[in-house]
Amino acid sequence: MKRRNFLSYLTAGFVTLASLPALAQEPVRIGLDAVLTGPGANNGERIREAAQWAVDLVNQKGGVALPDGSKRPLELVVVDDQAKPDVGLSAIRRLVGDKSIVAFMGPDWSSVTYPTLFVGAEAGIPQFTSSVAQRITQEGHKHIFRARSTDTDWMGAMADYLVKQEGKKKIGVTYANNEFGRSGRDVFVKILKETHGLDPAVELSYAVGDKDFTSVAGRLIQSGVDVVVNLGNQPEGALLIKDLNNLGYGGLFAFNSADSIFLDLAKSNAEGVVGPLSWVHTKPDEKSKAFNVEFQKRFNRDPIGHSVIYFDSVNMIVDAIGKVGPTREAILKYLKSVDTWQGVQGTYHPSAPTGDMIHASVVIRYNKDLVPEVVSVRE
Amino acid sequence: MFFQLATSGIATGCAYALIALGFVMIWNTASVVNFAQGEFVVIAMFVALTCHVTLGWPLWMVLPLAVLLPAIVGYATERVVIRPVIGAAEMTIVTVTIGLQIVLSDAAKIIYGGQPYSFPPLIAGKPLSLAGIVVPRQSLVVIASMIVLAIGLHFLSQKTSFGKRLRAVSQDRETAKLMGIDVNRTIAQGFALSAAIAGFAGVLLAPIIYVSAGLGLPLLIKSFIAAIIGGFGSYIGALIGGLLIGVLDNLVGFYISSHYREVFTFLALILVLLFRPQGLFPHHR
Repeated sequence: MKRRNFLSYLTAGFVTLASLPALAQEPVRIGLDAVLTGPGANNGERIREAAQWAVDLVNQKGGVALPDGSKRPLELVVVDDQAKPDVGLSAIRRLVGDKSIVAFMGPDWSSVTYPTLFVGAEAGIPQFTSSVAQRITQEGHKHIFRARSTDTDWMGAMADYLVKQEGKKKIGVTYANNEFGRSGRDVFVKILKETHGLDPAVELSYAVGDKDFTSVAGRLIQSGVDVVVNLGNQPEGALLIKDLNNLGYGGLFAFNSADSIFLDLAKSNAEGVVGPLSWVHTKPDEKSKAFNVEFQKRFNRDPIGHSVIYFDSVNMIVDAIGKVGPTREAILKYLKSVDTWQGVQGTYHPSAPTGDMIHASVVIRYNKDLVPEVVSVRE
Repeated sequence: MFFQLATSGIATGCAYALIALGFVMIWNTASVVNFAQGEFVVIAMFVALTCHVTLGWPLWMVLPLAVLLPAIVGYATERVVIRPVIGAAEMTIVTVTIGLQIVLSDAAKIIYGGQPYSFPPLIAGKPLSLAGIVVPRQSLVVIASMIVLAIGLHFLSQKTSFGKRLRAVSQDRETAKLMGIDVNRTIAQGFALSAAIAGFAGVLLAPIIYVSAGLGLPLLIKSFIAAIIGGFGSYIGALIGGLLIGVLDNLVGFYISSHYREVFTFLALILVLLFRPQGLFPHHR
């Protein structure tokens, strides 16, 4: 009998010992939902690579640190929402349904984030998004963290720059007749009125998909505005500035989507164009410079705003795990108690009641070499 | 400003006119309304984009290829998709061409994504100022190309054996067959030619409106309206209908509002259908 007990204990001991390394190596998993196929896939791929890079850097240092000082590998689980709400819903359900995933990032598109918010809320899992629609953080969800400044921040920065720094008073506003353009117009016009006491000299809208902007450009020039503020998407913005330049417009062109996609389309017409962004690789602070250098070494090109957003988000989750361990509830509770967290993009406020963690933005102006020079920084 | 807007509208209208011309050609030869016509424009754009921008081939090599490839696709379309349903109910043929449009459009989206791409101007340089009207060089290229193409097509139609066969088939298919014309082959060649014209329009448009997988349908709608306003089946009508739509678009955008562009385009269509259903130039086939 004693001999049998001894063998049982010995076997159990061997089994336990054999499984110990496996348990120690069990990775901590975080999720990412991005647009990886279809329209917007370029941006989604840049998001994925930045998040994966941040995870790789953590693993190069031995993995994610836990409160007891031990380390475990960090793993990124990626799903594709194709920029479609229905696909996004099942993709996020897959992430949330995997109990080993302690937090997730995405979606990027507001049209996917908003209708799928309830999934993360019901599961009580921390969710980091780069979507900009205001209502995402206005419905009282406690699990959502927005890691990007919004329309209000951008428009405030742009209005300040145009009125205070450039001294412009006669402002023309053009906007795309879609949700993005209309909400941008509403926010900008409100800020212009309330903060600077100005009304647009002329307001014109256009349809998404318009190809000939001669009539809009003609009316702007006829109204004698000295700055055109365009609120909409990149293709229409690039066509509008082209037609304005063709007709000899000499004023300033400010655009809320003056990013690298716009630059690719507008080419030399982008020279002198002003625009607000959440972050740009030419931002002059030390953290941004260092990030830019490392990113260039790794990917041999410039990072975009989304690169920083998702890089920072991974690191914020990793920091939280280091403080309270890899469980959804603990991470969520901890983040809601953190007043400030320093990332590459700027200072985040995870404890903000709405979940809007950051209000940092920059205003850029494309120089003659089409490099986006930072002309104003707002923290 | 009126003349400025009209000039700009003519340039855009030329592109609509070329696509409408292809529409009319297929209608006249095969009695088929080809709703995939806009996709031939997109094929040409992406061929030009891939070869010139991505692979760096010179324009002189790329442009003929960008016209030739849609022509081959047009020919194959007739042989594989249209010919089996010739003689079927009109709705069947319409459904087939709508299906083809969706397939080609989605294929372009899968391969290239939904984002637009810029294409360099065919002739670089600052816009020209002619009698106080600013005309971008690219617009001049479009207008000049359409004039040359219209003359060339007229010559082809009137003076060549192929043109005569096309006209014979469009006038009376049975009689043409009795006269020894290979009707099926002529129709396939008509498809190829109309796709080549659409491809030509695509090459001209690429630097002006950017290259994008979703362009086919909006171009198709405008060109279809142009063809109806001009008189469906009329070559001159297609050309003038396209120009009218282009100019109307700009004038409404300036004097009324950009929002009402589509409204006035469709209003013009309704008025024509109500008061002159045969179109403005019905007899110039």
